[in-house]
Amino acid sequence: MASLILSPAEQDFIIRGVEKGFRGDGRGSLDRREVTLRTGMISQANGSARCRIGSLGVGTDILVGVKAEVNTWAAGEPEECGTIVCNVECSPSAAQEFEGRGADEINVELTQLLDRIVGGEQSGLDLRKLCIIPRQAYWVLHIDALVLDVKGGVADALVWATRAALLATKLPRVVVESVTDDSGVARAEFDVVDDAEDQMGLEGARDLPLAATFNQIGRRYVVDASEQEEAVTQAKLTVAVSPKMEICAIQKGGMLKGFAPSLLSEITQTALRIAKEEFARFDALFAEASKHNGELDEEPSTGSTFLEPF
Amino acid sequence: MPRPDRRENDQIRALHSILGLLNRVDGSAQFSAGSTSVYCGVYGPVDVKVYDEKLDRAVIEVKFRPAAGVSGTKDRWVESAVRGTFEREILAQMHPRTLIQINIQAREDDGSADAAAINATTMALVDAGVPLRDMVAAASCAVLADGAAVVDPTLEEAAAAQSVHTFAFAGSDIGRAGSGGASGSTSPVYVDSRGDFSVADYDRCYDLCLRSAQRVLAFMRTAIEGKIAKESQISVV
Amino acid sequence: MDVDMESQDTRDIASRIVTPGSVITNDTAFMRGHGTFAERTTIYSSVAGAVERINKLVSVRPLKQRYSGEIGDIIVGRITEVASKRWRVDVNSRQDGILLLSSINLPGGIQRRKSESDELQMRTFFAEGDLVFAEVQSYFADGALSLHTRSLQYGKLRNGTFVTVFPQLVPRSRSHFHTLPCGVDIVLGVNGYIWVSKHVPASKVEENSELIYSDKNEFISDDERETIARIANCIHLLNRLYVKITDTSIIFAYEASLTHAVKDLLTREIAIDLAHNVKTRLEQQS
Repeated sequence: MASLILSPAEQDFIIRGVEKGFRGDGRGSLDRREVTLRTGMISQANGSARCRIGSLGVGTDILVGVKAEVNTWAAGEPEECGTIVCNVECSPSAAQEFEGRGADEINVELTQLLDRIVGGEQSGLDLRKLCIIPRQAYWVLHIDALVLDVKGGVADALVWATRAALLATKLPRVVVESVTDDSGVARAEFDVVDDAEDQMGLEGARDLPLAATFNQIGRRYVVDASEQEEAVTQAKLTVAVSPKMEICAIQKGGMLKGFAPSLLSEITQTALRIAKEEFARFDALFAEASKHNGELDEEPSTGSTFLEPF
Repeated sequence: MPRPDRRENDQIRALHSILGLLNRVDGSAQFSAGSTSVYCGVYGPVDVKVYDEKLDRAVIEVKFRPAAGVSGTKDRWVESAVRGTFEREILAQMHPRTLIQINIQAREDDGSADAAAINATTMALVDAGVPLRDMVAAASCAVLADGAAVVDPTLEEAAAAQSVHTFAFAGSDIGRAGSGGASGSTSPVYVDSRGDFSVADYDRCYDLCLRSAQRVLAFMRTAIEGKIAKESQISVV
Repeated sequence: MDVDMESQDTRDIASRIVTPGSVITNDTAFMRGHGTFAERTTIYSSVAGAVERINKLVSVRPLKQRYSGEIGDIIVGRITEVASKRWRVDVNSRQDGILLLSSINLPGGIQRRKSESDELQMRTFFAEGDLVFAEVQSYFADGALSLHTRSLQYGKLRNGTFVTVFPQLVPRSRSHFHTLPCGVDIVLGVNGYIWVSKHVPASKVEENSELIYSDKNEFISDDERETIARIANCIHLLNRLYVKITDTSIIFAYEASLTHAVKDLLTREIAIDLAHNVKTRLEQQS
């Protein structure tokens, strides 16, 4: 990510501060910034969510849409499962740095990160339930993430937003029938029920993980680094933890140096330790967001609505 | 024949906008009509590299990205259309040797996305403080198989239509037409017509779009003035 | 002109909220300023904002604007490029500012003749990423700001942290360097770039002029770190809630913030509450 350039004096101030337990904004080393979560803002998607991690309306801001499509099975593909396809893009309308080739690299990196965490069985989703007719048809879930702003901690916002979008995803019901044709051969056929009331959530969505990113700064590490803290980070580790308190994925990023093995295990232990709190926080935010489902959000002072069509 | 969402033929969908929702750019706006939602980020005026600069005016660049899929030639068309429209309205001579970058992202497309793109661009330019000669408001209209002309068509309606038209008008022209000027005498600043249509079809769509653009303009002005009024109070202290 | 008519006219014009293309006036007595354009005898607004009138000059100030410098402005800038005999400086404007080698203070206090070695060792003075406290001296032909740091108070910034705010929230005033009662120094750049740091007595810098280009921080105590973080958060919340940023408003915010933990100052409810508190006190003051 186009990194902030800081003067040596600024860097020293931040690093020494972190080592003494003082982060620039007064947070403790394991404190996350304010998280804002909204769901249901993309009506054409099967599920959608927007997550911002930061403070006072400024922060890393990611919008995720989930679209389900029926695919025809082809030889070589898994015979009794559906699939998940991830795509992450940084929107150029959000920042000038998100234009051109620089953005391509970032997009690829983030797509791989998301894919590793939620792109398959490891996500907790029951892919078998996404199969419609074995060797014939299955659901593909397209997870499309749009990065609107980056102020440190992209991986976390990406995973939180994706978990929320998948939890909010509703698939239409599919009716499968056996049809016998004139020559007596029985075939399976399916029909997608077009009824907004008759939809189901994704099996296993409750098992989706959350992620926390740990940045090593000096001799300590912090959770949810700010933009300035990212600029003095030596190494960082994103740890995805499932609600069953299992580690699903670990991804290292932005390396200037490697991690000492002892630090690695310390960080993963810390990730497990804070996971309970993180899930509790997520659940509270998600419940709140679901109540306002679909309502267009954001600071009311900048938004206007004419609700009556005219 | 009733429309799928039960709107009248001359009724546009519910409008919603947000000004200044993006933090890293100089100006931004989201514009939505029903489920169609487009947002725009404006960067500039900024210094432009010497070989790109125009000596007497700002260079205007437009990028449009669709809601889904890879961007293609149709999107290039939208880009050049938006650029052409706003090149006339932006007072580019005020910022010679600079660049104004307009980045449009369609978030959700349920029809009339190009009109929404133009409207979002107007609001983002205003949010950025880029000097404009006038505001631009756009609306679309489709002529259906049964000959009916409907404004602000949805994706479904546009796909089944015989022709689809998008018009954009400058604010002062809309005002003049509204106060009893002969309609048909107001030139749009942007027109895009596709499909099979007669002159009569075109005229009908023109009228419908002009009236819809009036409503869109009123909405945009109210939204902008409202924001300024609130924030002027705040910044007095 | 009849006095009544004139005051009605001017009352009508100022403070109106306009959008691009709005007619401001047809009266040829008025001259057009920023944010307007004229066609024939009519002055129109080119931006959205409130109309301002100073005597016969009519202008419109939009809410948001990149910083555009004026001579004499005190600013904070970040070095983006080291070139031959000059530095390019990000000043939060549409163009980078320029700091010429001939416009800076050289160690030894007195301006000595520029030698070859000074040019080759540009980075011993300022390198990419450094923050400088400078004054706008003049403009170049292409409109770029020319900066200088020739007074001893200016130079490289150390011992603290950087905060960005909307430039229009920092009013121009006589002084932009303040030592706050809580023991922290602040530099309020008119361009929206702000520096918050440990207080270092001016005398210390004067005695030891090599310090002006040092990259090393002084020792900063835990209390000082906490105060710096508190002030920085106060400035953030004043910015996001659109309150003017001056030494006074920062002090008011600081005092009101003491009942909260530093990290809580950036949570929505508390920030709104504190900003409201500050605005009330500022209103009472004026």
